[in-house]
Amino acid sequence: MTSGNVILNIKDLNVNYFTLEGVVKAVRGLSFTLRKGESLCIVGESGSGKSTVGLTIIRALPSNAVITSGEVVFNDVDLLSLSEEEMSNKIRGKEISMIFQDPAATFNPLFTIGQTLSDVVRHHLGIKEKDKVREHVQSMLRTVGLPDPERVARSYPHELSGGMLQRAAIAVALSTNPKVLIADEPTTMLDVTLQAQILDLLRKLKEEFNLSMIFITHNLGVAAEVCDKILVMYAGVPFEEGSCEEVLLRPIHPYTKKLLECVPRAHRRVGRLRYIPGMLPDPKNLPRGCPFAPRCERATEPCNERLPKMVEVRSGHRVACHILAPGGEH
Amino acid sequence: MPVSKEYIIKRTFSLIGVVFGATIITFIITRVVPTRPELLWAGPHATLEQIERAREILHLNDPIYVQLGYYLRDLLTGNWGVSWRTKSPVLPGILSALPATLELIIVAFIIAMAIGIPLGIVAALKRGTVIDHVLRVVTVIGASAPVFWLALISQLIFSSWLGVLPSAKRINELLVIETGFHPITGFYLIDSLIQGNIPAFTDALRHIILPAIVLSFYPMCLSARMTRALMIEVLNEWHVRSALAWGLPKRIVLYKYALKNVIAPVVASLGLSFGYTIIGAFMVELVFVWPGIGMYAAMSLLSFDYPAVVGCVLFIAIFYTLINTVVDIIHAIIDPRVKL
Amino acid sequence: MSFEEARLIFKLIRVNPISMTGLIIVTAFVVMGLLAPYITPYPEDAWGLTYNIEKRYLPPSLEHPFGTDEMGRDVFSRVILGARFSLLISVGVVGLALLIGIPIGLVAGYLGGRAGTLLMRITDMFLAFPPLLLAIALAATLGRGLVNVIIALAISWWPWYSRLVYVQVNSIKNLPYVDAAKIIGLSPFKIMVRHVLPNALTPVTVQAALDMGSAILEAAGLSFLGVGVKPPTPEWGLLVSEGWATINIAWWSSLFPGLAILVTVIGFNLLADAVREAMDPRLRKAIVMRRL
Repeated sequence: MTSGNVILNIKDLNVNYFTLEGVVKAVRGLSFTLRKGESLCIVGESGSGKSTVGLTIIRALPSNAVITSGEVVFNDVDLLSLSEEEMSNKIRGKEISMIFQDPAATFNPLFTIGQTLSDVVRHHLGIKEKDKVREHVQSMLRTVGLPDPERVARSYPHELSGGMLQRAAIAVALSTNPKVLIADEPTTMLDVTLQAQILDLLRKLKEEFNLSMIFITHNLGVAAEVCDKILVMYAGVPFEEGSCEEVLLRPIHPYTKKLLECVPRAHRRVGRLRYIPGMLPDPKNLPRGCPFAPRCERATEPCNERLPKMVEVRSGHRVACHILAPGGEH
Repeated sequence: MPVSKEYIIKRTFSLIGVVFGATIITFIITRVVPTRPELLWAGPHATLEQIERAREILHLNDPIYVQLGYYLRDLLTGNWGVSWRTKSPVLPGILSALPATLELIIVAFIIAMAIGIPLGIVAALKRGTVIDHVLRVVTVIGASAPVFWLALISQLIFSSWLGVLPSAKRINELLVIETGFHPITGFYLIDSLIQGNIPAFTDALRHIILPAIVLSFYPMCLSARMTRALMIEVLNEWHVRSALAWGLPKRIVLYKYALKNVIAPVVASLGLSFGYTIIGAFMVELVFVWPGIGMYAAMSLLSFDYPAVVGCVLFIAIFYTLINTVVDIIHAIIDPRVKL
Repeated sequence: MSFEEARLIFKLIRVNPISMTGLIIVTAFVVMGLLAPYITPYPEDAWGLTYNIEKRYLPPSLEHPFGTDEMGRDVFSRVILGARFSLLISVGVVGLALLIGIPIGLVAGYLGGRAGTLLMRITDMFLAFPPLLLAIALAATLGRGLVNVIIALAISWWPWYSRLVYVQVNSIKNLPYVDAAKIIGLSPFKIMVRHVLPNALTPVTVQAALDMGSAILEAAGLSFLGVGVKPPTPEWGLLVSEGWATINIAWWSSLFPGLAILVTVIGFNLLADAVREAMDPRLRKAIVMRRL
């Protein structure tokens, strides 16, 4: 791995939430790297800790979350060691930006899109002149394919549709020309036709802005469409990581295989939709070993004992499963 | 956000409806509930002749719907009866007392907002700390203290014992004669400034401080509590998280973005606390001999001056509805989501 | 509210010293109200039947912890007995308001349509008055007296409860189990009373119990304005008002009854806060967070 073009490197990240019912281990021992211009997809069911990863990187976790260990290295700087001040002035929104799942909740309802967007532009780009700010705002709104940017800028969030709001959110996120964009389920709340449009837009903008992207989704189809690399997570634990083709066409981890079997395909007639029997483990009461073991057909003795470790199976294809690598972590 | 004409018209109609409803309820309470309304209206020491006159004025010999007709006609023509305590018509009496009460309430609200909202924000941001707990205790006291007792005790301490503030009235009468102060708008603070009469202004300010602070205590604590609760709620919203994620500094996200979400409902709640405050003014004005509607009403109650009491009830109910309408319109202007 | 929920609420109150203070104050108030006639040091003074010229205006001392008033009566005894009247008024007001408010809210919510709208419009007309104004008008009409105070306050109070029940019923009446009851042919009355009402009752009764503090406060206000209970009833608001005339000679006869109101209402408000926080799942998390 040539470290030269690595832009983001996550090392052994662990994040816990403290709740009334107990401690939730949201992320356990997660490591991955993101290279310049690459797009990585984090795939997992809801509750797999994938959204926590995004919030950890920009350090916008809710107050009851604690990063117990790990590093988030961006351009040779550990973001977890920066002060809040440095974070909000130099990194958050400026170098690494983010868009969220629910476009309707992303914007403050009492401010127009233009007000929010120009505040971000003013703060990060230091543009003072009103005309220049306005110009930049309009050009950003045009870039994300919003017709009549002037009207959009004057609109309040409740006056725009979900698709338009998500475009506007992308405009805000990219207005500062960031190096990394984290997209947390950006299409989940949208209609299918809109989903495709937003994905197209993101793909286009990725080239245009030379972005590296972390794309968080529960939808393997979406993952296949936009990403170079896929990381599969389950109950806070990384299971499989590799190039898009490797993971989708030659999956190794039993969970990934099951997940792929569940994707309905138009060209294959199946009697009924497949599903994985059993449920996600209770996050407050995780099993000692592999969290997937209770649902796994191939689970053996060590699966219930120890958490499996990530092992490189093929070049660039890493898997954490006891079946492949007896031993694992202590 | 400009408020549409349709909204104003709709609001005006509903205002008329509510005012009509309130006058009907007042009619029922004052004319239908008592077995012999004329006894109440003539007062406790009335002669037989006066009672008979009261029967005539109230048209008690007519059927109830005719009485209602007369009642509404009198209401609209400003014929609100005669107070037998002051021997003068009720409506002019109330109207002449209005500026004093308005001045007191406005000053009280300015104090309440200027202190309550910042305190609420501090409590929300320092949630769970000592400051938050202290503020919680203070605001609970504010919501629990009987306002007349606060008025009595603060008057006792600051006027009688310490002697630092005057205990009664709006202005020193001697000073009025000496400096030639004369009311124009009825708001003494404004009038004295218009006339460039600084001694009168200082004196009026000294007179208003104590009653205004006592009166402001409840709405101050209410707005502090509301601000705290709303701020905590808003800070959990996604749009705050996304604004931070886009790198807007905390101070902008808090004091420009989140604060606006908080202010809108706090302003909307102003109407409700205005209701408490005007009733509180009954008691505070009585204690501080403040010649406003509150004192007029309280004196009427204490001397069983029924026509004056009913006049005050009607006037305040109508005034309260009006204020609420204005507050709703202000809320609509702040919050673009309110359907216009 | 299930038993489990009640236990959790109690647990959350117990871990917070401020909430616990509220619980203790309210318990003490209720116990005092129930036992008042048996624990006052000077029972005749408490009922206001005595006039003792040598003992007028005595400052607080061991013998008279709250001093004596212009009639030479022991203020402490009067304050203690006052708890009984405050308890009586608050229970009476809240109870009567529930009795009026719940049926109206239930019928308006369940029937809906024109009749429901009309009922709620009437409710809203009552809500158009500032709090206490309607009670003042009614009390002035009915005259002084304990029962009249309770009626006056209850009539200005019930609309809040019918609103609350109305909202609850509206969210319950479309639940599947109500549809099921309709399908098996139960009469609307039976469905309303047996199946909808019990589920709508919890929030309104909890709210009502916590409103007792406000009832005490408003009754005291009526007394101060001369339209409350009749003297020499030792109602706290009336005690403050009676002490007012001689406040410069004997401040204690106004101070202590007012303090009694303040402390009791604080107790109810603290408890109300605690219960409200405990019933809100989001805040529940926050409370525990604070303990960690």
